[in-house]
Amino acid sequence: MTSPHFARLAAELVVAERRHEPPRPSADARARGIEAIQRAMHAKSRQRTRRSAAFITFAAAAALAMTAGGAAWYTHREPARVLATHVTPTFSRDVAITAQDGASQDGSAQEGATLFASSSATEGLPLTPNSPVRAGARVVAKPHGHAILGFSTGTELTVEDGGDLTVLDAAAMQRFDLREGTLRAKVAHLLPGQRFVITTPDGEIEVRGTSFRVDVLPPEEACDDGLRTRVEVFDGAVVVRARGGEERITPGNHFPTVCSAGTSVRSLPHAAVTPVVNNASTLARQNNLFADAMTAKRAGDTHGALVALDELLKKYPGSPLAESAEAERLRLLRDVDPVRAQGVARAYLRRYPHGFARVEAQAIVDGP
Amino acid sequence: MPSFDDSELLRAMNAGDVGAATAFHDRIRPQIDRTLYRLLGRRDSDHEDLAQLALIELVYTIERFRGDCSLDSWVSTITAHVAYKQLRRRKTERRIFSGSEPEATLPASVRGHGPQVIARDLMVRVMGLLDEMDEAKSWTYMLHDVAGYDLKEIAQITGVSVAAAQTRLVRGRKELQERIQSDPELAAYMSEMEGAS
Repeated sequence: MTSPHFARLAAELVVAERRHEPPRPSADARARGIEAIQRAMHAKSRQRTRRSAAFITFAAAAALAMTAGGAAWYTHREPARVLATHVTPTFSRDVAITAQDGASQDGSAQEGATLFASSSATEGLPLTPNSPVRAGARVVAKPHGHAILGFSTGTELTVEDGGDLTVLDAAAMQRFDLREGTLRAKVAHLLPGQRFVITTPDGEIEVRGTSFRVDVLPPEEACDDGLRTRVEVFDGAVVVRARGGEERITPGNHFPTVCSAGTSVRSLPHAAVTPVVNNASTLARQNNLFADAMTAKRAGDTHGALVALDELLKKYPGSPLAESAEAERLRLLRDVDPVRAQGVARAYLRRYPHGFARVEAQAIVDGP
Repeated sequence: MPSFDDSELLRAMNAGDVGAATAFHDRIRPQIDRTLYRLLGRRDSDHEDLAQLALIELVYTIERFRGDCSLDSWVSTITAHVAYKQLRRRKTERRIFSGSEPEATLPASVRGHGPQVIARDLMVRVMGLLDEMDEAKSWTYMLHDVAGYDLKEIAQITGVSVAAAQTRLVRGRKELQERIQSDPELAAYMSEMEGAS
């Protein structure tokens, strides 16, 4: 075999060409680097805090999985498998992100958001259609304005109403920091090795594919214990762990259910986004779904009954059958998934404080 | 800014002392830049982004550093890993190794240019050949023969076994050799250089 002497010579050539020291980073690059380190340290610290005690971790089941009956049942029974909060990042896929001003979509002439090339940049640029957004960039929506970030993966983020979002990573690890304001997320199904994480000042949200909204409220609107993060789910489901407990948030419901003892959480105003729920349904379809659930229940098919009820409540949250469906759901869950049953019962009591199933719901919340 | 030696710096970073961020950056940034420069060249448009990603990755993995090698070696390995993972997909977009170099401009007949210019032209052509090769082999070749990583480090960077890294290296060298030989002009230049050295 011929000795690869040319290959060795080629390597020597490259080494000789690149033997010089690279130039020192500019002052701006140095500042960005230091800030990246500080942010990573803060995020890491939050992860540690979360692991030890007062933490919030949200994880959402993929909307696709939630619409599949078997998968839905599976996630109910073994949520930890779906959470996958510590998948090793592979950095194998870059995610292209573009942004556009919400004003350009609705025809409004008023500028609704600003793009900063880095989180430390002081001067921003107005968003133009398909403005590229790279890791380190920051998007700030003006009061009553919004910006829409479109991902090559199909994910869509809407930074709303004073929202201040920094893109920390845009690869297999998609990581964002929401300093304040509102973010609405519709996350596409993630591939193995991909992660989607949103950090807030007092929590971290890890997503597997759903549609939801996160708000970081001003400190004066925080709960008594300082909790500022709020979540509203439009599609799919979210498991919320906070204050030592766990709560499953289904479409149309909020986290936290109560802010502190006896105090209801204020209802979040809807910005210029359309929830993905479909209210334009026929009563016949709602009746059919409810009848399917009851038939399955009578046949001993708890799984099938829950799937039908979940579908009914997901597709028609405003249905006149919603209260009955929620009551039936908590009765079914009481025996097969007590943890989820508690969350559903709390949601029921919040939504129907004088509902016909309030005694049963309260008994589930109080536990054995 | 407080001054730290390496052990103090690592302790502070492991303890989450944000005050050490500046010192940590200034300590490791030159090695990050050096690594990216060796692998990708000075003009790489992604250099700044890759450096930031490497900094973040280093913060997240710092507790895994146990002093088995120098801090510089560890920084270099992590940086190469980040670059490798991030840039493999460039293959479908543009060139990995030659994307940051100027185009080869010298015609075959040019012999009157200075040796440095000719060497640079040869390098650019070699980089073009590397970009035509299977990326696993070209990366292994670059990491070992150009950047100086040993096989164990390459296995760690590229996520394969040491044996697989060695196989890739041998095959990468062989393929590059064959590609240079199949370009008579380039082979002639290389032979000339070899004879002169």
